[in-house]
Amino acid sequence: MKSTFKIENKIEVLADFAEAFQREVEPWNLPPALQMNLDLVLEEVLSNIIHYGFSDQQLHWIEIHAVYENGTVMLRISDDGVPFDPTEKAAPDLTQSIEDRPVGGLGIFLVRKLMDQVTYLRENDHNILILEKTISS
Amino acid sequence: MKITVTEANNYSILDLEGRIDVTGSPQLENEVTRRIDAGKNRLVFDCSGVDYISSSGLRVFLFTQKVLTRSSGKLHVCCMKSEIRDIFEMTGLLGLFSVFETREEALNS
Repeated sequence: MKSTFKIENKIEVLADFAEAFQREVEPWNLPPALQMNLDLVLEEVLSNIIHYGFSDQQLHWIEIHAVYENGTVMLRISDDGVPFDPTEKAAPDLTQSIEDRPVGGLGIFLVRKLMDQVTYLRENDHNILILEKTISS
Repeated sequence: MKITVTEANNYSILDLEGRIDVTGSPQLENEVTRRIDAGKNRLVFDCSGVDYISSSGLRVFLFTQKVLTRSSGKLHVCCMKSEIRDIFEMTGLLGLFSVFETREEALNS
């Protein structure tokens, strides 16, 4: 099963996209927890791209492909923003006290934690992020 | 998201409902800032109606806790669904908040 989406680089489109994504994958009958986690990782990745990916004020398109095959969900997100490899980002220090704990930096960490595999490629001036999660039986 | 504010037991109780996501979080941050600016530094976040939180929501929780810790205020979080609690646990945030099972416990502590 496959689905493809194309969204503009605007934060305000994310709510509609989340609803459209949920509707589209509903027939896949994924476990509810996984469905919520996919929703979450997509918001984290897409909001990151929209906030930090583009140095101009132009319209850019972000493409999302979702595939569900043999018990594995694969999300492939591509954008033509500045090169950014989230797999290189250091994990936050989870032992810090409230005073020392920075308020940001949790999005990418959550993505890596919730998915089994996160792969980054830079191809034809595009960032390509591939996220995979296998449903445990 | 929807936020309903009630005053009780010398606390401002914020009933949070819906998704604390990248579009809902600024609304929560504004509400919290307005309360704190008005001198309210004892807050309860009742999360019984929250079914989704992303890092932008976690950021507002952390920001609130930091501000209230500095001003000797209190933030009590209650009634988290297990999937929301899991996100706090996974990000190492659970121990940074005073978390209660029920609203009564949150108000009487």
